[in-house]
Amino acid sequence: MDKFEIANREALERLQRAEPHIVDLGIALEVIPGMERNMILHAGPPIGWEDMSGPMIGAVTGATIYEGWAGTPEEATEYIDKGNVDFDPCHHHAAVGPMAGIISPNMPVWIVEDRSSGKRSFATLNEGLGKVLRMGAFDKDVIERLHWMREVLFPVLKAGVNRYVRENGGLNLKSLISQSLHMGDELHNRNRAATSLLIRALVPSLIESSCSNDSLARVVRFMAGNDHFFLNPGMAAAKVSLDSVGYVEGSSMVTVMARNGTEFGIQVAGLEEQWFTCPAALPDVLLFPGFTREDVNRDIGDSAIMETYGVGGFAIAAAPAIVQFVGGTPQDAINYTREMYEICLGENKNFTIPSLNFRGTPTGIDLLKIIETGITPVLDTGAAHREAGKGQVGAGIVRMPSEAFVSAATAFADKYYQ
Amino acid sequence: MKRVEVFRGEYYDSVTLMLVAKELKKIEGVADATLNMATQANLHIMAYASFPVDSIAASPDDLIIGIDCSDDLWPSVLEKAKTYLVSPPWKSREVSTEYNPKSLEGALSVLPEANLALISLPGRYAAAQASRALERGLNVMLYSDNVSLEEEIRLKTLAKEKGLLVMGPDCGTAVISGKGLGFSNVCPIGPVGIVSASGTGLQEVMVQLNRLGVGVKHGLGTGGRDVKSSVGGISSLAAIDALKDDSEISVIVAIGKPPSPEVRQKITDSLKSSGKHAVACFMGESARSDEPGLRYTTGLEECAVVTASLVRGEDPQLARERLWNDYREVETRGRREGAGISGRFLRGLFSGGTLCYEAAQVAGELLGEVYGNAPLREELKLPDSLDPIENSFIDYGEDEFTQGRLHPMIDPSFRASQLKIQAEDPSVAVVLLDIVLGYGSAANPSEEIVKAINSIDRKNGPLFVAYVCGTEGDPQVYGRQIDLLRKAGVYLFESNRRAAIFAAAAVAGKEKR
Amino acid sequence: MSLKSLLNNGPKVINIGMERFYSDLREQEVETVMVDWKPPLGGKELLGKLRKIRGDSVG
Repeated sequence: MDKFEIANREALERLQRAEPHIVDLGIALEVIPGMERNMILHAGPPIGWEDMSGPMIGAVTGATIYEGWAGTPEEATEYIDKGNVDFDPCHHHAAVGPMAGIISPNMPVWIVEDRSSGKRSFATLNEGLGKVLRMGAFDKDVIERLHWMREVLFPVLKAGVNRYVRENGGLNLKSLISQSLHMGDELHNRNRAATSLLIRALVPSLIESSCSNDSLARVVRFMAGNDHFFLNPGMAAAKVSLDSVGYVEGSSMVTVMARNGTEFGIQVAGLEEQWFTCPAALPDVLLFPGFTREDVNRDIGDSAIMETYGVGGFAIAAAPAIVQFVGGTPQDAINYTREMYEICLGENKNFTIPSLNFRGTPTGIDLLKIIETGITPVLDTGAAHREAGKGQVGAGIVRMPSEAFVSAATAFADKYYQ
Repeated sequence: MKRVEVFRGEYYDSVTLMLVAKELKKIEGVADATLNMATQANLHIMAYASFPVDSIAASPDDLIIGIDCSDDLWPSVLEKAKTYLVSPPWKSREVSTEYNPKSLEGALSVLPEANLALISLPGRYAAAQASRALERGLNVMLYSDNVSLEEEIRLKTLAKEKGLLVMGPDCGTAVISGKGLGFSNVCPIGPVGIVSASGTGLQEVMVQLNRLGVGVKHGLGTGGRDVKSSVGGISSLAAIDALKDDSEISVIVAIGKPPSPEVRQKITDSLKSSGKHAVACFMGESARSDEPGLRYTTGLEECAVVTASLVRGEDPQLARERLWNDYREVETRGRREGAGISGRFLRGLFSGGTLCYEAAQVAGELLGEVYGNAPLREELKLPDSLDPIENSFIDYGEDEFTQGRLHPMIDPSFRASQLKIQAEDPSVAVVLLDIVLGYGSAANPSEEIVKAINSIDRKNGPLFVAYVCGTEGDPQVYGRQIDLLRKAGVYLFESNRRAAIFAAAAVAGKEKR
Repeated sequence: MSLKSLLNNGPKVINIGMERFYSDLREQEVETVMVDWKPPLGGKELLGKLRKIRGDSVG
């Protein structure tokens, strides 16, 4: 084994060692490292206001109004144009966000901790489907819902989680993910089982800790009505696990994949916290009725962290139902997963796929295998409308673009050339 | 109107691309279609054919599709192209539920007991892949050409260290335990082991052995450059050693062009010390007397005849004399038949490189100068391979013809079109062909040849002579091929050499002016 | 595996390239796998650089 193989082995082991648990909830400004009063965090690699795409512009606009920095969309635009808001990737603050991935100072967030390394990560609470901030919607309903989440959802959930944690030490996300994979989820586009398991775990503590039956009922109804409620803590689990790998000299393992609606970016364990970017993919997915190819925005969201973690599109063989939903066959699902094994360092010790004889999911994306095989990762993801607030237009398998991997590999070859 | 479109990062092998182009040209309104990986060479070819590739930014790993059709047809034809690439219409309908791995590693997890990688990738990637295969303990059959000599030496040196064999580069034929790899004929297994630098040379010897009722256990390729001094005969020597060790083999045969002196010494020493019979056929060399443990032959059929007699424990010299006798009869017959044909010249149109070489050699002996695109001597090289002069032999498998065209053994249409042109030339008296059957070759090679023959507009001649290199077991159905050709009036012979002797003899008496 | 074991055990082939070779081997009932090969990203140059840092001499 040469030094590169040893490094990759180490990186993969660190990833596998992570034990992500929900330990609390908090307000972004108070708990997210480096969060500032005038800061808005976004999905994907760094991007400026001028370069943002429709969904992200809409989400940022909505967040500006939510924060009270502006009263109307026009005022919000003016406010941001004047340079009052600092933008930074969620990833720079141990955080992740789906679709536009916007986190503003006054938003409630999950706090997930890796029991092995002690590291923490953060993600917002999922708003639901349809006209939501993360799809770029910013109308009155969206803002009101955000306020409700801050005022009602957050305190109720926090009290419940605190009680749960007091009794159990933490809510084991790895265990939930592992079980959900045996129940038809892949944890990116299909989170129904995981959401159900999460709610089941929390409901007793929620009831025992609640002050108001009415609020509790609304909170449970809210969670139960959102099949993707688990996605956000799931992403935080992936984020903290990958963060726990840190820098590993000589390792070609990919530790971040993320998109901001304009660009796709990756980071590699053996290349210190450097982004390698290129234009994000234009998703070629099955479209919902009424939408055409012209409506689709470029790929967007930090949810690619799920595939980086070894689930999502990589585990799609565990979720044949969703592949059918997006126009493929169960055999297609198996073939996608089998293809991903060819670009990964190993098989997951905890996440297994029943239909592949409980084989561990392809885990530890290897940049060099991507280069050599010509295969880039597949994501199972939603596609947003290019116009802010018009919502999701489709979902399916999206192939990541190659240029970011090529520039990362070139940097890798240059760095490690003797 | 000619238009092009680039599809970045989409790779398809050249055979698939050409077959799709063929399908597209069947569509009404499509005047021309060409699909290529955007290498410099391919872009030049497209530019030459007036496709607008000047402002195209594409790399050799991008696909470029060029179609000549009306503007309103373009979108639908392009769609068809994309559909055909993904679901080739010439393949059977069965839904493949198999997962095809995308890498050598992936393949090894499916077939861990694999012992050979058969590599037919574009030359610039073939060596790296071959190296990977060797590192993983696999022998390699390297069909790809355009592998540099330097890469070849490094690969074979690595293989030698690991006790593995590299067959190639440019190795199109091999047989292992009676199973054919690449272009090969169905033959029984027998006590013969062959090491060959040439694909069709190996095929011809195996086919001739089969005619004599003798089977072959292994036929190992070495590529054409193995016996150069820089390569040192690494594969040839490794192959001979392995055949020496095989207790089921009693005769070892070596086929190729004459090796460089140091390599030749090593090879012949190894053959002579094998404890088994050995037969060499170094083509192009003049006859040599046999040595203890090693017999020299000058032609492929003779090589088979001598080998067969050794297998049967008969006297090879007797077998040779019978053969020379047969050849004399064929020559006599040729002179007789050729007397009445109008025209003066012999044109050889070949698909197999070594078959062409052997036939041209025979013709040279009978006719003096014989020109060609891959001639025996540099001075005999045709200035324009599409414009043969006097007596000429053209190998349509040469690089100049296979850029953007399928190999003539796979697709006979180009050679068939050239046949028509040559045959309608009143100065041509005899046209000589090889028709190679077996795995890898076209499904019905004689069909297009016969169509071309039947379409010829000419009162007297020419005489068509052909050799069908095939066996009863070949997928093309040997008997059917023979029938088709016979019905078209083609003179058929049982070996490449016999056909060449007859054809050359038929024009031997004619004045060149 | 070695050359010797190849000749003793019969070919078990990984086919990388033209599909016709794979189907011909299947027809002869040879154990074989078809690799759907794609060119490496970044072309031969990048692949060469990466192989160099691993000490691979070829390609």
